[in-house]
Amino acid sequence: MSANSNEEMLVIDGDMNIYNAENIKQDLFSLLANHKDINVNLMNVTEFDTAGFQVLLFGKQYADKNEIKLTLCSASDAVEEVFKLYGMSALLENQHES
Amino acid sequence: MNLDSAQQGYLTECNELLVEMEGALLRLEGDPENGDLINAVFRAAHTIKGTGGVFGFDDVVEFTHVVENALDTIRSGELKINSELVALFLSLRDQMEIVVEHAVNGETLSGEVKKQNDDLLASLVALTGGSIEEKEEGSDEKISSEESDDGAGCSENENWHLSVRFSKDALRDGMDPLSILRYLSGMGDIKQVITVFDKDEEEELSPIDCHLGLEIALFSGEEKETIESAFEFVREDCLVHILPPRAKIKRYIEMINALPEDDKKIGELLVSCGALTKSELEGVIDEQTEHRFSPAAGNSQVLGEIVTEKGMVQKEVVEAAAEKQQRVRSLNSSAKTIRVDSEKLDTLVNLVGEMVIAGAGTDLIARRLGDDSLVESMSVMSRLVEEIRDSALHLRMVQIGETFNRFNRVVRDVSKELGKDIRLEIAGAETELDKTVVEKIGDPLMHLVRNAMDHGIEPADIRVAAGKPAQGLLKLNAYHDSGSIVIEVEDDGAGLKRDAILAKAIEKGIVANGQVLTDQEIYRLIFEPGFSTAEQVTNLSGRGVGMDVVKKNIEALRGLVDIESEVGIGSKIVIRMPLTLAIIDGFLVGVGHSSYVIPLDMVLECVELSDAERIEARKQSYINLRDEVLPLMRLRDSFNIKGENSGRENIVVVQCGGLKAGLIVDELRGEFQTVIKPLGRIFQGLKGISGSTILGSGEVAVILDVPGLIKQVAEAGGRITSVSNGNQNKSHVVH
Amino acid sequence: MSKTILIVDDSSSLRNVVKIALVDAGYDVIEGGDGTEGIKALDGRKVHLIISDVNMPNMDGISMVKEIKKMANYQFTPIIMLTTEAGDDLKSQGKAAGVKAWVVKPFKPDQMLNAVSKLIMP
Repeated sequence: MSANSNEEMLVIDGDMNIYNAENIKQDLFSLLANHKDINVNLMNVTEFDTAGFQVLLFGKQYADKNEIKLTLCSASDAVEEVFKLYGMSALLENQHES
Repeated sequence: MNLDSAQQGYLTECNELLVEMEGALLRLEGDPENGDLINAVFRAAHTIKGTGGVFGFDDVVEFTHVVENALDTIRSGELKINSELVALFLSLRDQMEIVVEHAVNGETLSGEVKKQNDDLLASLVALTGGSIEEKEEGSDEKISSEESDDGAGCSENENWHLSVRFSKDALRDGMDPLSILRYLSGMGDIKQVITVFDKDEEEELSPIDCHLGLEIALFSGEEKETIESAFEFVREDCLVHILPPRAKIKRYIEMINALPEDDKKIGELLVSCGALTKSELEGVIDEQTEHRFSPAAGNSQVLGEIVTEKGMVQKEVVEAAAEKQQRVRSLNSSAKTIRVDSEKLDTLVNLVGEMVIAGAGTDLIARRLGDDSLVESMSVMSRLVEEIRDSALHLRMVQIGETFNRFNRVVRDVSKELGKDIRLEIAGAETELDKTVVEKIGDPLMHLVRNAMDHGIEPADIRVAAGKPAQGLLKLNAYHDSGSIVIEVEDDGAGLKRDAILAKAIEKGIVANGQVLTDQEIYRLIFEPGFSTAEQVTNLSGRGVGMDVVKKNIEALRGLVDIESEVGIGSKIVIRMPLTLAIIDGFLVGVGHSSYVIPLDMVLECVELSDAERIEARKQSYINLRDEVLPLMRLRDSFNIKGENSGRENIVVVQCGGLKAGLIVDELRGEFQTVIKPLGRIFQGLKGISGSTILGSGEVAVILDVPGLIKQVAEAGGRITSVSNGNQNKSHVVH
Repeated sequence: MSKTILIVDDSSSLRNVVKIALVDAGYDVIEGGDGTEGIKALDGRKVHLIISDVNMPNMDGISMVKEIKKMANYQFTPIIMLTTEAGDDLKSQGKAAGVKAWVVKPFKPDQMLNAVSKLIMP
């Protein structure tokens, strides 16, 4: 993939839960403030809870409102399960499954 | 690990709690206002019930529950404790013991036990004014199953509709909405979830506050209560609505009014969730508007109030209560000990024992090699090993107090039974001794205490006539004395009647007529097996009952029992036991090629035999030691060791429980830490041997049973030298 | 990776039964006999749920919860407290300390499993 100059990638490794959600949110929002095309790679997320989910949700809403392209890709099983439970699977990029 | 062992653990735990409970109850009698004691009693009942329920011991729970409730009314001050109640709770406590035992053994309660249960509980209700029976939670407001009657005004929705708005703190409290979704999916099919999230300033929001709401369509055949239970832990802080399939439209309206979002938005959510059809929604909106204009303001206001109520926690009140409870609590929680499986301790002690042996072996090698630095570091090692040994053994040590305290109850009960007024005095409760010893000393003690009360202490009128206080006194005392623990049971009764005992003994043929005995020897006769007490010889004769058994039990623990008595003043039974059964400091002696270990605390002195004495000793079984007659025993002969000793012989003077004897050995090898390995079953009958041990060299040494040997010497006709006082100093022990 | 549950109760046989049930259900279990031991058992490892009795020697359950709520790595861990129907006053204390989930003693192991599954899955 040749990234266009404005595309940014945020890879989240390990837990994404109530204990680090605040930090991840700050990382995400500082990207959102400076970029127009952001990829959040969720492949290596292990523990994922509602706090983690809300970070992505906040990000998505903010991006929508500010016309930023925020892609949530390569969701790990843990992430996928949560989005499914919340009836929000549509927010995930299913680029993987093809 | 299986449930069996857990159940055994429960039994042990209950027994401990019941002992605690008993102690607290007995103390409560004299100190009825003591909140700590009441709490201790309550806690015991509470834990027995709580844990019993987990095992599914319904009998235990049922019985203990009533007791616990009664105790709670006492704890809360509604009911005052009095001696009548104490007595009843003591009986209840005993009954709990029975019920628990039945439960753990998997036995159903017999009719008799059940009747006892009922009788006791009936007395409890009578005494507590029935205030305890029904103290059920008033919160069992069963929300009557939603009438899902078909017909007019009902939605067509086949699913349950669940609507939740979580509190901001839900995540911080560990209540993740995901858990509820996962739990719900276990009881049916989640058809649709709509996550509500309508905040705007995302940047300002904290992801650890919960900003979510859920509208859930659940297809499930479960009862409403079951579905409701999914929200058990969150419903106090969250807004939860549960609408059954085909709920009345009215219910939806109520819900919409109660939800924080814009009514119209909710309506749309409900439609997209499949809860309401478009047309149903239109009806709802219409009705809604009507209500808005109606002066009574109907549902919305009422619901609004409920919501506020729910959200309102009376903080000050809660905090004040919490603080008060905290103060009470910190008083109650006393330092306790860690409970370790005694098997683990035994393993540890055993290992330490092996280490002691290995250490001794290494020490030998080091000496043989003659490497100074090695010898030196070995001596450091040895010291450490010794310290480890001491602390390991210490782990097994328990205070005798708990055992003693059991007798509060016994004395109380027995004196009532006998119609005597007897006070128990306990001293030395903090004296420590080996756990195994404690466990085994209980029965003999029980015997002695009962006997003292029954036969030792006179009835009040006789006491008064004799110029003694009407109240009898029984003393239990414990203390350490030269490597042993001494336990005394003392009464201030009539004392033993010397002549009557002697006459009895002669009649029984235990003592030959005309034989001259000291008072002490006569008193000891009561421990003789044949000393029957079928007829009342003296008012102390009953002491003979089982006294020989008591003696035997104590001797089996390498202990000794003796009696002191004075007419009109009282009697004192003195039990002397080893502190521990696992390791002793031994004194190693050699006979021929064999090694023997004599417990060091029984060794008084070592004397070298002169040639003249040797000849004398050969002829008779005693020598004159500093004008004292010392009975002798040649180990060479007793253990049938072949060959003749070429060198000198030595006498090891041993003492046990006031008796002295001399053991003739070839060689004195010095002190030696000895780990006792119990003898196998086959060897247990052997006289004069109490165990074996392995020396550092790998050689096996036999541990001598000194009390047994002394007895043997006595039986052999040698006169036993009495030591005036057990505290006699040891003279020169040869190393 | 299975989830870890800490159980704190002064009745070791109760801990034992609950542990057997939880381990069967696929959880890892660590234990403590009172509040102090409970906190010690945490020992920096990831713990997903704490089950604790209230009335315990040394450190009672509520004091323990207050301590845990101060620990950065455990402050948000869900807590189930064991209570009795008679323990309303304690309950309000526990609530003030941030406990939301209560299970009434005596409970059957199944009831405990059910309560646990409302908070975490194995």
